[in-house]
Amino acid sequence: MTQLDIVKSFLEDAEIQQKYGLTPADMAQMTMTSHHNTRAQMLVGLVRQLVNVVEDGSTPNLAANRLNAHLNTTLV
Amino acid sequence: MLINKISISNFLCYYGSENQFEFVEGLNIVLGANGYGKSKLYDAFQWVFSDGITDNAPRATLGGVKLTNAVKGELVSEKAKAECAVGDSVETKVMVEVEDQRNGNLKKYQLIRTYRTRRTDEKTWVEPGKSEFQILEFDIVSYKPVSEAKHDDILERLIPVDVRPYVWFQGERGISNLIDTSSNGSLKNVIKRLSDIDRWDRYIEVAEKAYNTAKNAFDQELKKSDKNQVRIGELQTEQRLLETQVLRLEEQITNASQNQQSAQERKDALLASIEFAETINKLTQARNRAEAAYVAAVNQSDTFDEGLSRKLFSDNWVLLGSLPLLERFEAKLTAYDDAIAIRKATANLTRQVAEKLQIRLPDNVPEPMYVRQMLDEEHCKVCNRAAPKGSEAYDAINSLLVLEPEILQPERPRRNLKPFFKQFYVNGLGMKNSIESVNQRVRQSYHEQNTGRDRVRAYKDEFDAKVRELQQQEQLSGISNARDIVNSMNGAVADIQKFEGDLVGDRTKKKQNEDRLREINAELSKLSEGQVAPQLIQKKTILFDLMELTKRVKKTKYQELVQQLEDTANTHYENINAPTGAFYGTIRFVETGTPDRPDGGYRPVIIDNDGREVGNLNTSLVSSLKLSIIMAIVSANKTRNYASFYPLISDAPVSDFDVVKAMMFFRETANTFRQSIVIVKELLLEDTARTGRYKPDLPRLHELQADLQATGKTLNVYQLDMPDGVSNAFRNEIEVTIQKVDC
Repeated sequence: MTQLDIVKSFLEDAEIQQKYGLTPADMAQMTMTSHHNTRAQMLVGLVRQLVNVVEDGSTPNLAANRLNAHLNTTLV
Repeated sequence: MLINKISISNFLCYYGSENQFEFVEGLNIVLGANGYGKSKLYDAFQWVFSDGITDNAPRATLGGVKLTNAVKGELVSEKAKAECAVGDSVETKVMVEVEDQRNGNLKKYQLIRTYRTRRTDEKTWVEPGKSEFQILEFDIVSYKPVSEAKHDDILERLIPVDVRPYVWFQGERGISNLIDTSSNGSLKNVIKRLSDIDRWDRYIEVAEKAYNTAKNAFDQELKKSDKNQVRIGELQTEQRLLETQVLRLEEQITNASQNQQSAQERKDALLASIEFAETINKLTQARNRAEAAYVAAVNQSDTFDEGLSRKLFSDNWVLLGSLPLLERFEAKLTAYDDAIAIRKATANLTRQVAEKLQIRLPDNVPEPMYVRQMLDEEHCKVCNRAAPKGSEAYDAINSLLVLEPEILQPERPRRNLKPFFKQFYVNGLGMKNSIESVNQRVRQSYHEQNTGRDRVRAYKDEFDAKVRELQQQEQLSGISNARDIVNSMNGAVADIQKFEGDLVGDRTKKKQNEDRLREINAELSKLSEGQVAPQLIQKKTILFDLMELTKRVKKTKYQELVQQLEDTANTHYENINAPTGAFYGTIRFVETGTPDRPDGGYRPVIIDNDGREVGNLNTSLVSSLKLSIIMAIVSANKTRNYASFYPLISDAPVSDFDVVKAMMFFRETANTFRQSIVIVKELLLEDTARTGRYKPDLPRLHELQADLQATGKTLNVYQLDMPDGVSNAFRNEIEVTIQKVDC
């Protein structure tokens, strides 16, 4: 399972798609660098970051800190 | 891992050192009739990798083995032992040569396990409790020893311990142990052990920690706010309380879940033996009842026998045959009465005579004293004239005196015994009827005694039969603690139910608390507007969404895995069963628990075309169902791809199949596994040229090889044989030979 597959596994969730305005078409064209609307992009970026840190084998605390740091940057 | 070779020396029925199988990538079939060493070949693999051989006792658990320290000298070929001289040793050795390729890196190993036993006299052996294990790694030109510290890692990489039972299994029981169709935990365990479902837990953990960090920062900011302080304070207090409760409930749920799992494992471990244990328990109860009935019958019989002795007197048995005596007594008594009467009459008569004699003198005759007086005076006072001595008158007077009767002495009174004898007789008469029927009563009592003894014998026979039946069952099952097993099983079932109840209650409370926490979060977010930096609110919100998302995705992935497993199992199931032409239905994994509240477990069932569950499946369908699930477990998980990594080794997996179905199983196995070693007795025919020997069913093997060649697979066949004249009934003669079959 590639990281993109895992990211897609998260973003294929209907509830999250509805809440963040993601469409099946977005999912079909998704890459690890593709862009979406601002709200969706923030979630997609966060999920990518989550998959990155977990699959890198970071400890849970370090991984959680990196997610917070990522949001601190993107939410400015 | 690919297994290239196994060499077996003096191991169980493999005598000598010339026992070698070379395996290929593809399907390897080892043919062997019963008693020709099929299971021992399987055990050879087990011994090398697990330091034990298969535990055949029904109580044995999943993948259970009896370790070397339990079997010791039993590992050694009896024939080799029989030929070993006193003072010499026998070496048992199994070597498995494997190769393992990961990420383009090929490694070759020889795994060698050795056991030595030494004969000290005719009957005594020194049998150590340990075997020696070595791993040699191929290094350019030769195999070199690997340090012992690396052994476990290498073995785990070659085939992980938790995977082994799913790709190495023996016979119907091995399959049943892996997939228990009655257990809701069976598939859950399978998925947990053999899938990467745990990876989603790591995502949940990281998302939770990230959210908590953001939430703490948000809470700190909110505390500094000067609006709605009271309400915010209330909400935060409630929030902290609920969070603590949720944490506690999660801990309780984890504990209850672990405890339930542990109870389930206890139950699963007992499943193989519970049927035997319950049977033994029932037999034990039946034996106890039979014993109690037997003891009661013995006591009753003994009591009756004691009563017989007493009846000698209490029931007049002692008088048996005494009726003639009574009659004689009656006669004697009559005679006695007569004698008494006669004697009395005689006495009476005598007295009357005497009396008559005493008064025979006429009234005018003087009494004798006067007669004597007259004689003395020689003068008759009757006629008043002289009667001198010698005169006629004197003689006449004297004659009166001579005839004077003797005075009879009165008879001494005698004791009157008549009443005594009469009473005696009356008593005797009273017993007459009883004495007359003694014989009948004795016969009746002896009949009852015999009936009682027959009953004792019948109860004894029944008791002995129950004891034998129990012993047989205990020997067959190897179970000597049936009651403990049944109690443990009852305890495990009760625990499962209790923890299930706890889980339902805790999960309900947790959900209520989480719902309330969401409401509090929403209200706090609203109250925080203008009080806390928008980025902080956004961060907290999106991380909360991420945390919830990771939980939902794990659930979805789990359901996908189950579906994938079901689909793949159905593919294998159809491939194995369709060619037989008989009904086989479709595998469905039914979620257990209630529709409103599933418990996360699944139970495999067969459904018909109308979607109805089919009951009373025959053993062939059940076995193919389970084998299909095992194949699905191995082949469905594309991520770990066990089918590529690990060879299938199975002993007698198709013993319930007819030959058509067995052929389909071979094809399916070859298509599923990169390498498989299947040890079977099917595809053998009686060899008419040799007594009690078998030969390969070459037409079917040719057919199989043609099928496999069409899909690019290789077929490799060996036959286990025995020299002519050798009987597998005598362990110290057994000598299995290995023949390569040319297909």
